[in-house]
This record gives sequence, C-alpha cells and structure tokens, in this order.
Amino acid sequence: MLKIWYYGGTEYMGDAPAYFDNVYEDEWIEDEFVKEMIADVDQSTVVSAHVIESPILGAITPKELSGGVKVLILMLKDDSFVYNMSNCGNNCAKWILKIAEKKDLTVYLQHILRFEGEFEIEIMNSGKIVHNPKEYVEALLVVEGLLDEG
Amino acid sequence: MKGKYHFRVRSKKVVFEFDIRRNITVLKGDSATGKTTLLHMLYEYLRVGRESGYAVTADVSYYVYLRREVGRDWKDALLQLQDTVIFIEENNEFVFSREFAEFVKKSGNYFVLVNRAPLKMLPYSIHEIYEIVTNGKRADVKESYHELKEIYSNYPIIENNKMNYVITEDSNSGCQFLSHVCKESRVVSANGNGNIINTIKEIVEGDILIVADGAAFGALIEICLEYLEKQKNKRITIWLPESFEYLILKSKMIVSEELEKILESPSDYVESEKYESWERYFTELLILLTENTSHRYSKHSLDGFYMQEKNVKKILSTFPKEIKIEK
Repeated sequence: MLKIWYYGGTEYMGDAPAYFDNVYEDEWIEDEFVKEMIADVDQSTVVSAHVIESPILGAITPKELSGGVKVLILMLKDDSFVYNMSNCGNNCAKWILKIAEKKDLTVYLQHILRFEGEFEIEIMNSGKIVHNPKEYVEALLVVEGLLDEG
Repeated sequence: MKGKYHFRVRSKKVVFEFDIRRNITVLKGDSATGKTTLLHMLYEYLRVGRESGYAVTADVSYYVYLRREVGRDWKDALLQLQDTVIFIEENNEFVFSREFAEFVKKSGNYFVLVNRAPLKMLPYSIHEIYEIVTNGKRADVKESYHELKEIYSNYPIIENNKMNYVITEDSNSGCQFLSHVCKESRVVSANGNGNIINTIKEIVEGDILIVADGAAFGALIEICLEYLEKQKNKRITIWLPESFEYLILKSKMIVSEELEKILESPSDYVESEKYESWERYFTELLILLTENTSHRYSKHSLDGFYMQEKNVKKILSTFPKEIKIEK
C-alpha cells in the first residue's frame, strides 16, 4: 500500500536524484520493471547497465536519467530513506502505485500528484484511507487546512 | 529590475528558447521534459563559457543555483546579485522559507524556480507557471527544439449563464463591483484566497463563478483546479484576471497614451524591487491616474463613478464572453 505524508510528519530525502548517482547498482538498471519505467517516463531504452539510449540526448548513463525516474528506482530498490514524491511528475504516478502493489511504500509529498482510477492510499497525517482521486484530493486539502473536514 | 528577457540555450543536441517576463517564474510539469538538462547547460556555460560546448545567448545577466556547496549557502551565493535572472534547481528547501520570500520580493532580481510544490510565501502569477515542451514543427532547427508553455493559460472557463453564486477572493472594491452588476446572483466574499475552497464546499447546489486575482494566485491554482474538477454535482467557472484594478485600466475608462503602452507590455514598467506582483503595480497605477479626480480609486471602497452605467459597461467589456452578466 502507498502511504503518504503530506507537508510534514516525517524526515525525507532532500536530494534523491543526487543520492541516486552515488548509490545505484548495475542490477537495478537491468531489472525488467525498471526498464519499463525508463521506457515509459524517459522514453529511453536500456541497452546495458551502463548505457541507455535517449531519443534526444543519444547514449546516456544512468546518471543522466530524469530526476523522476531516479526517484522511482530508489522507491523500488532502496528502502534507506523516505523519498519526496514531488520530485516526480504526473507521468510517474501510475508507477508509484505499481511499486506500492509490490510492497508497503511510504513517501513524502508537497504538491498534488495526479493519480487516476481506483487505488488504496493512506494519508498518514490524518490516518484516512482514500480510494479515488476525489477522496485523495479532499483528504490532502483537509491536511493542508484548506478544507474543513466532514 | 524590469523588462522581458530572451534566452536561447543550445547544445549540439537540444535547443531551449524562452522569455522571462516577471520577477517570479515557476518551471514544473512531467518528469523527463528537460528541466534539469536546461539548468545544467546554463550552469556549465556560466562556469566556463564556450568551453562548456554549449551556447547561451541572453540579453541579461543570469545565475544558476544548483545546490548548497560546502561552506557556502544560498545567501552567500545570491544576496549580492543585482539585476540578474536567477535560476534555482529543484530540491532546494530554502525556496519555501519566509527569509527567501522576503529576499525575492525586495532583491530587484528575477527568479526562475524549478519546483512542483506550491511556493506559498511568494505572490506569483498563474501566467508564469510553465512546463517545457518539445516543438517538433521547427524544421529550421536541426537540434531537438524545446520551449516553455504556460500550464494554466487555458484554465477552464466554461460557459455559465446562470451563476447562482459569485465567489470573490476579497471583500473590497472588486466584490462591491460584482455585487452591483450580478444582481441575479448571490455574491459571496471568501475573505482571502485560502478560503475559496471552503466557501465552495458550503454551497450545496447551484452554478458558481469564482473570481480571484490571477497575478498572485500561482500557489493555489493547481490545488484549486484539482478540487474543482472533482466537484461533479456543481457547475463551477473560475476566472482569474490579473486583478480588478487591471480590468478598470483595461476598460478604456481612463484615456491615456502612456497607459496603453503600459498595458501592451507591463514587463517594461513593473520594477520588481518595488512591486512584488503586477497586482500591486496596477493598483498603485490606478490610484495615481485618478488621484486628482472626483473618482479617486480606493481598493477598500468603490466610488459610485465606477458603478455608473456607462462605466459598468466598459468594465464588463473586459470580461470573457463566456461570463454573461445580464444588465
């Protein structure tokens, strides 16, 4: 299940893309699920653990992947920290839900990342479990103090 | 600092081309659109110029803050800068601080902030929030061509004829004007843009028009639109002109050659060191232009002059056609 701390309540990794550059492992890049994420979010193809083909930049290394995909990979592979989901654009949202199907995933959030369809997300600040975009947005607004509960 | 500044940032593979028009610009959007690449190229060119292998042309000084360095934080790097466009990379938490906000408002620089989270301390416009898009139609450029696209330029104005309720951000002159012209609707002041969502929630049924100052609504636009989009049982229109004062200036009620020039290109007139947002500038300008007249403008109480029929018509002519008000 995905568990979100919205605007507080937890320590979180301040600069995950920079951390990724120092800790990523070859096996992470060769993982089929990771390859799918890179193909979908970055529109790039993993050639080997050290070479990725980007349609715009040509041959790049994992260090030149987008910040969003780096955070997705860390969420999947490295449980050392709580990561900031606001490093991820809306094109990462479905992958975050897929990772959270594989394991309990606790993240930090500072904006409204757009999730589609049905899901199960716990808003940790309030303990509320939400199942669709409407419940999710309203629960975040309540935490932020922009919407009264009830 | 004032003016509009053009940037062209080029490598052998990509070109970014854009204008920076106000004191605060926000870059966000999907992952992998090129935000980090752009800042990296700007940084490298700043560091070693042509030896970076990149080419940057800009008609202004610029600076790039990527991250804190040992023994040197943002204040050491930025406080000394003047008349500079300052780009700040994501993951710099100081951009959320009051101290940074105070610096931005008074520093006389322009700021381009890469950040998805709303910057609640800063009064930025809905029109200066951009994403990077690839323009595949530029056949004249061999590199991959990227430009900035306003994310909220097409906020959803929907045709709304009934408007049972009109919600305004404040209780001042703009609210008084709308109360005067929207006689068939109930005009409600939210008493601050942070209360708009709760005010909508209290309305059980009926069509709603929300009017707020777009010039300083940047931090709330995303969350507001996300909420509105999910209210399927109410028809809600949101309209975010720069400010009510901007509409009066735009209405041609005041005839002035200088005013026409200003409205054509506000960037050339709004000094960022003095005005934290265009809304503040337009308010002061309107007060200045009317100060020795019988209808001196006040933000707090609207003179009857502005509610005379001919003037009401002029102001209403600045409303979008989708918002129909029976007079």
